[in-house]
Order: sequence, then C-alpha cells, then structure tokens
Amino acid sequence: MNFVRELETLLFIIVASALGLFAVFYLRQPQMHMPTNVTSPLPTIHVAEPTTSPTPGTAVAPQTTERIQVSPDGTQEVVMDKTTGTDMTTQYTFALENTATKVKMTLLTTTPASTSSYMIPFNTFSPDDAYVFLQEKTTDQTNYFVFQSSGQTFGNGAASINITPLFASYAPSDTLVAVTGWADPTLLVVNAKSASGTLESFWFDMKSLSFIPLAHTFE
Amino acid sequence: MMIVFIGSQFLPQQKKTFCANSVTCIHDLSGRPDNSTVGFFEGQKVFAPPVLLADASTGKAVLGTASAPGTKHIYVDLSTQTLYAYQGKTLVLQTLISSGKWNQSPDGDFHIWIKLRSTRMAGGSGEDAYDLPNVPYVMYFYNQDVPKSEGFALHAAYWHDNFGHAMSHGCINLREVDAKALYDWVDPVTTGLTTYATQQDPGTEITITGHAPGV
Repeated sequence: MNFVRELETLLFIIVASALGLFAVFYLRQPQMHMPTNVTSPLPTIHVAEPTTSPTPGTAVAPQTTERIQVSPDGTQEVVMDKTTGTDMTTQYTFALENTATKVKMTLLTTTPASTSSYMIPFNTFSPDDAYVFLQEKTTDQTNYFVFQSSGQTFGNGAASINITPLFASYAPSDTLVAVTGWADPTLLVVNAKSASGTLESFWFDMKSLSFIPLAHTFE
Repeated sequence: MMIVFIGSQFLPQQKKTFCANSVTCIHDLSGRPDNSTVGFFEGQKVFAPPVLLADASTGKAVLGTASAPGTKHIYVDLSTQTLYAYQGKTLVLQTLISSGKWNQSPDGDFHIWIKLRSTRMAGGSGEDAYDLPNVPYVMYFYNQDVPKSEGFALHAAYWHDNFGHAMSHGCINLREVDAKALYDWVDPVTTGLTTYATQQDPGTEITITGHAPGV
C-alpha cells in the first residue's frame, strides 16, 4: 500500500513538473499584436547581418564585403568593396557600375581610421543619376560626400563636396541630424535640430552650393 | 433676397469630392505616355523620363523566387515608410517608400482596381503645385471607405529620391525600379497600357498601417 502511495506521489511530481515546464515555455513565447483597424497582420521581417569573428592569435586573411545600391531607374549601381587587411585596417572602394554594360568607374578609394565606417545611403542617387552621395560615420560626426556620377570634379577642383562642414559654417548653432536624400535632381534634403531642439529642414542646392531653409520639415 | 440667401444655407451642401491629385485625379485612364511635356514639382522644373511603348511588358512576371506559392499581398507600414510584398509566406520585395505628406495616405485593406503604364498627375496650389507627366507604373487601389474616385495609388516617382520619408500628396511613391517590379508582379495580369481588375483576375490586396512621422 505504501509502495502504491509512493508511486502515486512520484507520478504526481512528474506530471506537475511537466506542466510547470510547459507553462514557463508557453509564457516566454512572444505575443502577437494585431493591428485593430485592419484584417491582415503585418509580418515581422528578420534580416540577418553577416558577421565574421577572427580567432585571436591566428592570422586573418583579407576579407571583402560588397554592398550595392541601385539607382531608382535601375541603370546604375554604386558598389562598395570593403577589404579588411591583416593589419585590421579597412580599405573602402566605391565605384559606379552600369548595370547593362558592367563598365565600372571608381569614385573613391579610402582607408579611414578604425573608428570610422562608410555606407551607401538608400537614396544615394539623385533622381537623374547625375550625383551620388556617400556617408562616413566617425566618432565626432557623420560626413556626407557628394560626387558627380560622371567622375568630373567640382568647380574648385575637388572630387567631392562634404555637406557637414558647410552646414556647420552656415548654421553654427544647429546640429546636423541627417542628409536623407534628394528632393529633386539638384536639391539634397538636410535635416537639423536648432539650438532649442526644434527639427528644421533645408535644401542643399548643388547648383549654387548653398542652403535653403524650408517652411516644412521632412521627418 | 434675404429669405433666399438664408434659406440656401439649409439646403444640403454639395460635398466637395476629394482626389489625391486634385487637378488630374483619375480623368485619364488611357495609360498613354506624354513624352513632350516638362513638369514641375516643389517649384522646380522636372523632366520626365520618356516612356517607350516598345518596352511595355504584358503577362505574368515573377518577383523574387520562381516557385513561391500562395496569394500575393502587399503591406505598407507608414510608420517606417516600408513596403513588403509577399507571395504566401515568402517575402519577395522589401523596400522604402514615400507616403503622403501634403495629404495623408489612407490606412486599411485595399485592392488594386486598375493598372496604368503611365499617367499625368497634377494638383496642389501655390508653392505646393505640381504637374508631373509620365508618372510610370501606376496601381490605383480602393476600398469601401476610400472610393476609386479619390485616386490613391502605388506608383513610381522619378522627381525625387527621398524614400523613407513622406513626400507625396497621398499616393505611395516608390523608386522606378521597385514600382516596375511590383507592377509586373501584381494582379491583374498586365494586358496593355491599361489593365482593369476583373472577377476572373481580381486586383492584389494592399494593407496599409501606421502613421507617417511628422504628418
């Protein structure tokens, strides 16, 4: 009789543990949040970023990562090659490639400090493909470099124009937030914060190389 | 006279019909290009890319994978200005868009009712006035609350490249390369410059949620 009771107790403990584990597992599942005003839920997209981790103490072979951004009309691409050398410095090469002919033209080759990184913004191309802009993040600021897609230099002989120091001179009390894209073929959209924290938007006119304050903002 | 004037205030007022593109609305559904007109937007001249009818594609096109099964469905998240196109559970396109800044884009569940290879879009007033010929790859959508006459559409935008931020008068703007891919993929299957959805070939569903920042 005692043996039966002990068996019942043991069975009870096993079942209770199983239920407890099930409850813990179920409660940890993420809850679905359905929008209340539509019938179809927006799915969650998980985009995995490729990562590489060099093993300490072993030699690191140069690695090349390529990123591409296509022009709005699909005729050109900005291609970024990123090569990490055995000394852990990173060289960036940006080129324009014609999607039909595959002819490539190098825009920029640079090896920045290890605390800097470059990227190709989604809106890199002007609507007529005449310009592209690239973004460099440093510890102090983000720089925005505009190039002519033809490869030609600007009037002052420079290969590119850096918007960030120009804006600092134009509006020294403002903080540049972002250059987001092109309002038209020659007008870059520049978002900034005033000294009081108000969001302001400007155009940077590539024809006159000047800023134009706007009555509305482009958040 | 006074009696007539006072009496007229009690007459039912004629409801002003709203249209996303207030001048052109959906008056021209021919889909025919206009390769000679210069447009303007935000006070600047805009030269529309020519639409070459020899490039017109018809028939089904596959976006993403050749073998994705299931129903096509487009989701637009106004909060992140992102469009997702699904076929069944397979994501076939994810890209940034520009939704309404001057008029809010509507939210809800919609269906495409017509596709136009290109059309002119004009509207606004004062410094907001715009006139854009040859707007390509236009997919008008509607539901019971947002009728066809209001002229909301997914379409390419060749005049700006500020996707990820509200820029339009209510329509959903896309890069031309993305709009073309969607246009060739969505239902109804393209049959010409103008393609109507039918009972046999109903338009793809579009779900729009969220609220555009700063609008």
